[in-house]
Amino acid sequence: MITQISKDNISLFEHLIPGDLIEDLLIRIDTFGLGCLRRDLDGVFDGYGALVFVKEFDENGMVENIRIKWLYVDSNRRDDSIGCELITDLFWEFGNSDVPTMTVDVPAKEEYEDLGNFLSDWHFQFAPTYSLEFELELSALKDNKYFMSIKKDTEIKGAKSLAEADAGSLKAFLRELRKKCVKSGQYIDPMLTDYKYDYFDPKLSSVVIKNGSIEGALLVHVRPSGRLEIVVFDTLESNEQAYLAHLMYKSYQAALNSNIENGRIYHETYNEKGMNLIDNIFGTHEAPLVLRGIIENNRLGISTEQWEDMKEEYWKENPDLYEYLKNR
Amino acid sequence: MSGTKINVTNDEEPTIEIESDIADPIQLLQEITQSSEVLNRYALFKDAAFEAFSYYEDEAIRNVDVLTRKIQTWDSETVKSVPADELEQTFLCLYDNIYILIQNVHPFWQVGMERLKLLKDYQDLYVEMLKVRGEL
Repeated sequence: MITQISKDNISLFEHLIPGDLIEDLLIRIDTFGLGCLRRDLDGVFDGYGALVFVKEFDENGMVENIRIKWLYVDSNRRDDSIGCELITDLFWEFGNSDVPTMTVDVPAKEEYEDLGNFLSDWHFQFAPTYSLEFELELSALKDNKYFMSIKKDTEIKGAKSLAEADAGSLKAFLRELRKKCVKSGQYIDPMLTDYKYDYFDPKLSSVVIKNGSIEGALLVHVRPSGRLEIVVFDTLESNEQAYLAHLMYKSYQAALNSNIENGRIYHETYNEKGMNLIDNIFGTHEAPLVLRGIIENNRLGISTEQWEDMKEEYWKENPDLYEYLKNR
Repeated sequence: MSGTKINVTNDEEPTIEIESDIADPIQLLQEITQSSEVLNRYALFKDAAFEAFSYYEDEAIRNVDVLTRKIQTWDSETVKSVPADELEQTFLCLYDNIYILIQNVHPFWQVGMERLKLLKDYQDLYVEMLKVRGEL
């Protein structure tokens, strides 16, 4: 049985979903979960599998892609039918919508081979690409040529901590940022429009303040897993790259001062341009190979009759097989 | 890309020889998957897959028919006395057979959507039956 994962029933599925994604399900407006319930030995329904997906919105607020972020079946109860029940439920929603594509990224590693095969059975077309996610040990920055000079007490000009700005000016900044994203056709993170107070860590986030308003910001959110996630990573004008360096220094110094040197920083971009920017700051990085599976929604067209004709034609070409099956 | 050689031998799998250092694994993979040898071989598999699909489809349609008739014998009164395990297993078995029917065709071609509708209807019926039994 499939159920939408909500605040009320998430406890049934907590053992199936990483803490960071549970947080997404509870906070973010673009993240949704489906859970599969089966009877336990004691006859009570329990969570056996979970699927988490993100609806990616375009600038007009229309969903342009559904991205599967997580598909997991309890390892003690592994059974293909649980994954099938979850994926068909999503297919039903996708097939009845105008969303053009549905995608899933599977790491190109041996341990994900079963998952890749399962999704291929459900007609995802896979092509290799590079992951657009960036993750780095904070401690590795100690040897980075840009960051090695930053110590706990180094004076950093230009950038301030978000704690020094008021919530109102942050909201105003996010509104401006959204406008800029719309103008340049960039992906709009829903946190820009659906900002929850205190979502960004005021100490680790850094801002450039001019005349009382925020002009540029690097906004950091601390994940339940301890990962430092850079959610919004931008300056108002792309030619003001100097801002960005100061913002990075300031946030790095804040991490040093908070003694979370063992943390990992994480950032997800939506195109290669974003990754090039990351490379410029951190030096080149290793982008893991992933297999991106895609299903397009505009492939509607074949009717039941056409499908029957195709089969009939096939039986005509293979009369022996048809006779054999008929007489079984 | 020069230096990459794809040999198709009489063995079951094509052998692929890589003569030079390959800088870009994506380019290599694309070159291999787009080579005519591999595409021809894939076409053979595709044919075999269709054969298997058609075989399973007939089998699955028969199973769906049997299970549907079983479920139809349960009404709002008799369903209360069906053992919980039997009820769940009957529906799960029915779903498994419908999955085969959906996988046979591209899921977003009309046939696939018709079969998804069939699946959804039975899933809803299962939930209704659980409600009648007072379990939901």
